[in-house]
Amino acid sequence: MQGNLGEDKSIYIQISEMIEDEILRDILREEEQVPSTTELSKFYKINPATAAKGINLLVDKDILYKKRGIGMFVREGAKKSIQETRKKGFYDNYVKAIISEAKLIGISKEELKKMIDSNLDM
Amino acid sequence: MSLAARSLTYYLKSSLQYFGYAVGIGALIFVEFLFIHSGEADAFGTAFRMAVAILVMFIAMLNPMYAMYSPNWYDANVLAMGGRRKDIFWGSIIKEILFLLMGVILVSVIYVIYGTPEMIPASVYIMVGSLPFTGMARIIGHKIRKNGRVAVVIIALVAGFSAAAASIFSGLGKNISDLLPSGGASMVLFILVAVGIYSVLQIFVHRLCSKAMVQ
Amino acid sequence: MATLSGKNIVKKYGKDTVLKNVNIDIETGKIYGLIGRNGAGKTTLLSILTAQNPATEGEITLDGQPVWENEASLSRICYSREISPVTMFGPNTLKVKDYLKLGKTFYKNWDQEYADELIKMFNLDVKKRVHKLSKGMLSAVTIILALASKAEITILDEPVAGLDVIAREQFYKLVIEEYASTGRTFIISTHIIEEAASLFEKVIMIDDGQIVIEENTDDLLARAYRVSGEDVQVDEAVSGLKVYHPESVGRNKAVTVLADSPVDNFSDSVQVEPISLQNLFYAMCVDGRKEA
Repeated sequence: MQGNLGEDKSIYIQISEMIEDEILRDILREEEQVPSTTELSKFYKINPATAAKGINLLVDKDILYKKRGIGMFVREGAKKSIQETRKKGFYDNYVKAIISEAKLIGISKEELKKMIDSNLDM
Repeated sequence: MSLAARSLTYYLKSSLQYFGYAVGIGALIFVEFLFIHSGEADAFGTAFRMAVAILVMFIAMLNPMYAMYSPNWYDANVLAMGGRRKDIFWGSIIKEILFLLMGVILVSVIYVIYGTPEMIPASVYIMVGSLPFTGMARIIGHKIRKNGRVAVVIIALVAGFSAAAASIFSGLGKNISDLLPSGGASMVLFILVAVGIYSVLQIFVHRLCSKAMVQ
Repeated sequence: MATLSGKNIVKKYGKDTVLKNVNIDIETGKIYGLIGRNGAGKTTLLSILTAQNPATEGEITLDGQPVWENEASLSRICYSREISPVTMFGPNTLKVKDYLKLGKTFYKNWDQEYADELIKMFNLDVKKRVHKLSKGMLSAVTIILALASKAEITILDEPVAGLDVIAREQFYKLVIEEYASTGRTFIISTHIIEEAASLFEKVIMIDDGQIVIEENTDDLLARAYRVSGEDVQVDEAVSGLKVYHPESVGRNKAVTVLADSPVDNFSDSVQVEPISLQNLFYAMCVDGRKEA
């Protein structure tokens, strides 16, 4: 877990994104228990209500579910569903930004394609 | 426990604490004088009389001293802990009266045991006589709190004049003890007058206390 | 949920009006941050809300019951003040343990075990006299009194001012732990905003004796922006919006915007960034008052 929160987004959104990141990186696995709001709020030094809001956001998105009396768990298929959602934002959040910066500093279409191609053997 | 009971606990404890101080100082004085006069014929008697006299003075002085200090410190502490102004008002009265009663009883018992009950009235006059000053001191304490240094200066001037007047008195050959009444009936009268003045002053104290604040 | 509320509070000290018609509603079960410059009226407001000082005008109630001289209300509140190392007659020679004993006597829910734990944690020497304490230790005493009081509404005035960074983090964690396990209400006044902002569910901003903000922290920051770019375009983009503290360098201009509700249609020609509570506070309070 990263211990630092930025200022660019509401804290509860950052909390939900951080949990999503952990699911994507398999740090949190499906059907595993998620840290409680108290643990999260102590770790990030945030109001427990804010931590709860972040978790509830993921419940609404069907990423997490509540086991009565135990806590929050990662739903089966959560990783896939996060990937699907993030793919939709990938163009807006990343590709657009790369193109606009490339234009600004005069990188040609061909040069950009080349750069990406040469790095695609991930 | 109710708030009234909790603050009563506080004032009873502090009354006992101050009484402990007074007795402690009396005991220290006794030991010290016992040393100073060791070897003399009536070392014990001298040290004893000195210690009790000083104990009496202390009992007479502590109440007014703490009363003057209270609005600036003790009262604020009680308010800061969620105490009410009426807890402070009644608590202080209970503390002052209890302290004085314990003093009168202790000193009387000491004199009776020592076999000099004739010393009791003068001591009672001095101790009970501190009551009106206690009421005055609390009012002065409030004034100091409100007006700061100005009040301190005025009080110092008044005290200075009174001291000067007192020394003129003694210069005229009058002894303070001559001014005090003697006999059982007049002692009761004296106590009634002292308590009366104290009670009347509490009307003003109450008015000041009901607007007390922490800062 | 209960409410500690102040209606039309005015406080005058002689000719100075320290609070100018303040209205406030504190809902229990939340952590509040009270922020404002030194001298803005934070301590005065807290003193009046807890009936430690009288208001010149206005009324304070807890659940509709007056707070002034009322046991039912007072016994639910602990306002742990900054302790002064001096009194009017000289140094404050009270021992720390005697100060904490006062707390034990007066607060009906006092938790001595918890107090002892905290004393150990802050490494506080309770035999010391108040005037001999460092600033950090003075803060520790006010924090211990506040937490151990277990009062339903717990108010701390500048609790972290004297603490070093490690003790401050300890304090924030303690508040979160205590809040998570008891749901006690905390009102914490501070001018160290940056590091505490994420702790506050609601924020009350006071400036020059008036409450300028009383809002959920997330909601507040969701409608606050820093808008920058070429001056003409910035002016156009923010026209009609409430703007604070414009700054210019050359043709570049930056302003802080506090809109009535979140804005999602700023023009693409300006740069729009979210803003931290501290920067919003700075922008709102820096102009219009002389440097302190």
